[in-house]
Amino acid sequence: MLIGAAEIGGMMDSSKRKGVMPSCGDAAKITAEVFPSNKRKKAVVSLCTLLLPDAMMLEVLLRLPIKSILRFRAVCRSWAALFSSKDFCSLRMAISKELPQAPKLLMLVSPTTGLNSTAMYSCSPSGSRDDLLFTVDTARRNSMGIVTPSPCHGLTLLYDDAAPAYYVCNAATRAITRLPPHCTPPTYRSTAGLGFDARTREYKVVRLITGRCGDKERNKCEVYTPGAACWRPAAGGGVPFRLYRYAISAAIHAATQKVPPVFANGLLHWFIGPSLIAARTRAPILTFSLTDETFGCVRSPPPFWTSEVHLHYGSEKEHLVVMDDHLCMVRDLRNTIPRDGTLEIWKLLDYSPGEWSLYHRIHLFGHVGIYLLDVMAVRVVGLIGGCRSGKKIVIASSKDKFAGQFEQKLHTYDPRCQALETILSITETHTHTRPASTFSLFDEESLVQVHSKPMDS
Amino acid sequence: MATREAGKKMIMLKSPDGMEFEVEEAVAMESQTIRKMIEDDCADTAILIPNINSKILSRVIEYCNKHVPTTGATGAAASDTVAPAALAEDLKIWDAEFIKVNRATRFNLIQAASYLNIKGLLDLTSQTTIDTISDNSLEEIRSFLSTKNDYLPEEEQTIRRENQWAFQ
Repeated sequence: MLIGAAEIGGMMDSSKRKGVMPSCGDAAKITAEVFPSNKRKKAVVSLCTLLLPDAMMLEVLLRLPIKSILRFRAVCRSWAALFSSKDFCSLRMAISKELPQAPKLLMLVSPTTGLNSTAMYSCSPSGSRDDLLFTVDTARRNSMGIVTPSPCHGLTLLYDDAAPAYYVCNAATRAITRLPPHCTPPTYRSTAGLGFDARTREYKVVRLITGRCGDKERNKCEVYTPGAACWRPAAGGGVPFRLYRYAISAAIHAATQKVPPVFANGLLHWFIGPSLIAARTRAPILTFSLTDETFGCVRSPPPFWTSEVHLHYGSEKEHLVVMDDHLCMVRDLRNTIPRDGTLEIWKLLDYSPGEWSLYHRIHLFGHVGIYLLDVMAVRVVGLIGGCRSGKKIVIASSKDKFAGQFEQKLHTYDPRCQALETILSITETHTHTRPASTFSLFDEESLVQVHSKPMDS
Repeated sequence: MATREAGKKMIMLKSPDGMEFEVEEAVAMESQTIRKMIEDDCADTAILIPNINSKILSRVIEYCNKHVPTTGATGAAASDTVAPAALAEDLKIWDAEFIKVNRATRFNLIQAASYLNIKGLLDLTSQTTIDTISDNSLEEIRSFLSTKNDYLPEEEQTIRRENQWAFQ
């Protein structure tokens, strides 16, 4: 133990001897930004330069496990200030992306003893020990669900439909916060998504609400930012008239299919599904900029878009997913005639001319493939795995068994050897026609704060 | 620029204590800092590496020699005959052996890796340090930083309460 602590002391000595050395690493540039030079913070700066003689110390601290970072906040004020700064948070995110990590999953579990609480566990796909992350005592049994199947900057959006209330959690720091109450008029439908504003480096939760008021269809958009006392209208002024019908289709599709908008490139993306308004709209995707809070759309659909006639209201032929920071559209070709038995993943290369390319075609065969051909819904969730071990595509499936029982499974697909594998299986009883998901991926280690106030204030 | 064999450019690196090291360009370019100098044509004569003594610099070159893509010193055939997984395993064992140095040397290697911008070496040296400090108690860290606990007792309690699991 003591030898370990001596590391820091020794490091201090050696750097004092050598003096401050120029560095070309990223960390050096950021040290200056972490401690802005305004007078109010002078005291903090001088203490930090004493503790952090140069980029070297920061390079080491950036690699501390999250648990140690949270504990070392209690060492002194300057360390707490450093660890809760947004610069430190962004740098650590960049570094942790490059380190190999074993994929983990998040799972919501309601105790069967009838207690009014829900617990969140992390578990490994190989079935090793589960860790209890936190318990939500305000959520009734079986009313809580995970909205976002893959995390956004390490954050996961949860929804309790009994309350009703949204929660944002960071599984790595085990922090969770309940968002202020919102309201949806009885006949209205709503959909919510979680995104990250690159300018403020904070998350935002965005709700899109649609419904009939008198004989007019109405759209509304509300935003929650950390620290706010309530939801507020989008700063960009809501849905513009030219996108009104698209927004209605997108919101109805997202609400009925329980698909949240996906976040990529600073934008939330809703799939504009076929609806009663338009069997097949010309634009496939509605976008919302997290920075400007304005709506837009991707006008160019992938090449297969117009070649098919879509008459399957309510059945899902396409959905959106993010892979390697690219927006992708998954095309479900399981039940075409003649039976094709594949899932195609199309990648959006460029927004403005709308350039799409076929990224991968998954052939469903073998034991797991045959299972997937028959289930009610198949959804590609994202990628897991580090850069060295090769990434695997994660696929979620939901099967209606009988008497309100649903079988939810999670599978991985290895694109290199085309191998499908089932990594998780749960059976649940629900009264809803389509149950909320109770699991999510957890492969990003993030320090992003879910609470409004900085932790040291 | 010196040329030893056909197709292999050599780069001269100089440490502040006057030692000179002749290394293959590919090996030197493991350092992003030197790569940039070479690409900007600033490497015609010997490159002076400030603040890194010959002992440390020779260890850094040893690291780069091992980690340069296999088409280098061991010949182009290496990657065909040895499976990539076995090669990665071999490198891991080599790294573990390489980092068995005293603390002062390791800190000097961190500084060198940071200045020369050699990602692999920086990861290796920092991670080794992390593995030894992440379990230290707060008191141990404070005493070796010779810093004082500047929290009020109730403030420290709040921090502990906010992240109770991290203190278990």
